[in-house]
Amino acid sequence: MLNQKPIYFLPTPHYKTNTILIRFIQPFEPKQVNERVLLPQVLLSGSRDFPSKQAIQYQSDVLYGSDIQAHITRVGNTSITIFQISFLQQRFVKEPNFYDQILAFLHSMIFRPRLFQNRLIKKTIEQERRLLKENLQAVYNDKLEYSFQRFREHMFQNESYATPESGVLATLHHVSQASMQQCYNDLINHSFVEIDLSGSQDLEQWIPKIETLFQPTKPYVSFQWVDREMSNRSEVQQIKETLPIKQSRLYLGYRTQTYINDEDALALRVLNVMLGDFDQSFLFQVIREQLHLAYYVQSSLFLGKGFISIMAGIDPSKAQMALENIQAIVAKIQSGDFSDEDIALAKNYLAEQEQRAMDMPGAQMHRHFIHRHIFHQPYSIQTFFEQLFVIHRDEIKRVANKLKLDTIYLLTEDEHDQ
Amino acid sequence: MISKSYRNVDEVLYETRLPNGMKVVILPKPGFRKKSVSLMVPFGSIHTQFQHNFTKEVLQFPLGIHHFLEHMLFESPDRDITRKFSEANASVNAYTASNRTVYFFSTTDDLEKPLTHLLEMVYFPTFEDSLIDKEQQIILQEHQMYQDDPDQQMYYTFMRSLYENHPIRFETLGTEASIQAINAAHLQLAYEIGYHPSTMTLLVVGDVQLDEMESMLGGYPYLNHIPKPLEYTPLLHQETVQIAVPKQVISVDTAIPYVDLGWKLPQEWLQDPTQKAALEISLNFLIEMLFGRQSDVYHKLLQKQWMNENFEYYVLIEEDYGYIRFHLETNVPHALIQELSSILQSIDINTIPEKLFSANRNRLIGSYFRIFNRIDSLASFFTDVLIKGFDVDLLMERAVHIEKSLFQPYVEWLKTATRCELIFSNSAENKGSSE
Repeated sequence: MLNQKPIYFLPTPHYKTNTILIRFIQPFEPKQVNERVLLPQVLLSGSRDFPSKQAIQYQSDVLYGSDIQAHITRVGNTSITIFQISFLQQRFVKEPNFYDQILAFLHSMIFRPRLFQNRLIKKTIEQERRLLKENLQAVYNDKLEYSFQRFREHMFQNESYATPESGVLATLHHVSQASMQQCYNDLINHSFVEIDLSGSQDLEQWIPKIETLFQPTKPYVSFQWVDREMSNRSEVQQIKETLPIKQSRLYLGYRTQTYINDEDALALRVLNVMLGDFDQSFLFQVIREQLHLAYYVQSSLFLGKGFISIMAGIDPSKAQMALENIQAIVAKIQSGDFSDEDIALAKNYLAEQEQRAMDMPGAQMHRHFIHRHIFHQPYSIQTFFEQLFVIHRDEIKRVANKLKLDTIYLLTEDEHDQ
Repeated sequence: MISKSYRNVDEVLYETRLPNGMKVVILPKPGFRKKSVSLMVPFGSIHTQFQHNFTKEVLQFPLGIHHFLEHMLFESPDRDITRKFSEANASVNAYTASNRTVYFFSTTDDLEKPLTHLLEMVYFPTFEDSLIDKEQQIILQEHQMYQDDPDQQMYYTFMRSLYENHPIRFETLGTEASIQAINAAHLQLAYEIGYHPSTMTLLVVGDVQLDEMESMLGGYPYLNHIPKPLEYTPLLHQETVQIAVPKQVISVDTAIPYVDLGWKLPQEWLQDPTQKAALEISLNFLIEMLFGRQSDVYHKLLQKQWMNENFEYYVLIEEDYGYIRFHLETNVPHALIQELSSILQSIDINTIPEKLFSANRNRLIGSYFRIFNRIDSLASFFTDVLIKGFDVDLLMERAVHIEKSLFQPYVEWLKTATRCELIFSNSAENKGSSE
């Protein structure tokens, strides 16, 4: 396997479409966050062959709606720019050179950008900056997303994780033609390129051509897939903010002190499900079903950063009551007060989710990716089941006792509205 | 079972009707692990009035009863229904829309147990006062959550601006007062009238064997029981031609002002399902060409910075109403409305190049194939098609054979029809910044 190029094929013949997904992997760089969000959008605004958004849209329409999608994600301290295209399998289209057109289209978007005097076009950058600005402003309208962002900024205020990978409004005006060009050069010349393919068997014979066009490469550095940065907090931070809203949003942020590549990570996943990630969880059953305090309440686990956030949408007058009850539920689990049936339901839920992911090429590609880089062994659902079902209640109790409450954040109505 | 093959997309669908009148539709999808089962009841928030078929007596239901009923079907004094599903490795959920309530579960495991739970929850509900009180509080929380969502608020304000009489004006959840007033008698009556087996459809999508499904469904005695005949029919609504509130500016707490433009479709276009299916495809296609992401208008407005890429349009065609809605984010709402208005006046279908026309047709064809990639998208697509009585093959054929000449009457109508203009705006600048 030593000389094998990082290009992987997943057969999914029961689908109508094929997918090509290209990852550009780089270390996370807080100073370049806006440029990295903007770059794929700028590239998808025009290339030498398809010089405008309109021309690109036309081409993707001609190719039966083969839109190219691009976005950036963060795993630990690593940032990944993903370009992907999904297109009909050859058996459904008449055009004999259909796959050639698809490859040329994708290649053009990434490797043949529209330039003026060797730089990305200023007007395009300005336009994408304006659109990003409005999207970042619009987060305010989605109170769930807005409150999570505020919570995150407070909990991780002295850590790089406070910087949202979706872009930072306050520094958006620093983006320049030069900084964008630098960002593009870094992407093309200094990142590790990996390719995932999925679809009909005939796609496999295209691998050599895809290799030549997109040049997948081995990493030149080892990436940090886990972000362990943690500022010391001697006591629990409590923050309250107000807005003219009807429903309060309450967050409790716990440090898990367990990360994705730790041995007890899977036990933590079981714990999180049991605590609040499905409709039989303690939080859902007690906070919603018994006490009727919330329409929604959920816990979410972030293994790349090592925290759990518990979030509830509640009546402003009941915030304190909800807070006390949520903490009581966590304490109850920490004391080991849960049944074997509770554990079995949570494990079965995780197993069922894993089965469902087998139907989704995107989810499969992601699992293979994580296993290659973080677990250093191939992904297999059987191995996952074997590891899951041997987890003992003591292990769950142990990870529960590593939970440390860090931040309580409440977004609630303006005082004068009460 | 009757089979129907869709040659264009290489799929076969099976249909049958059980002795109690419930329709069963099965779409086998070998190779997928997930199986999805939906039970659709054509009882949604616009079905507020029912008329007795002989006495002509009219029953009026309280607002929000459909959604309340949906919540109550998950409640039982002697068993924990969602837990039963979880124990069978299935996850269950439901939603209430304007024209239907749908209960559904999915699993990668055996179908029999969760199917039994699904049928039992829908066929044998109970309405106990203590459970009604509990659910009332949860629904009020849900109602409160939507009050903070400007998108939801805009949608309902838009509906109230467009419609004078039709109950699509009202929120699916009802009002705070109507939710609080709902009692066991209301729920019982709504259930008896709205949930007649002969109107329901059971849709199964996934890797299933037909003979196994048939023998499974034969195992429920109550599905073989012939119910008393359907006595009530939902009343269709007479909507006026004019727009309820043609122009309106509302001050709300939003990061970026919103603009909605809307048109009510003429009643005479909404006569039968075939006509409606053709109308839905044609209008979507026309608007996509005129205002979609490949149109000159779209890119001109983007470059002028008069809107952003969150521009959406909706063509909705239902039982007794239909509308077109444009939804835009803009910092210059008044100027944008004026510009769109003059663009609409000058539409000329003949100026659209033939190659854009065929590109758009390719996109539409591609979109049908993509639906078949996911069990979930298939289930929701077929739910919609079955409720509306559309024929899937016809949709595909229409898409393939769509022609420019079809559009002229719609273009003429768009130029002259009265429309609704709604602005949600906030004078405070720079909302949403994190400082």
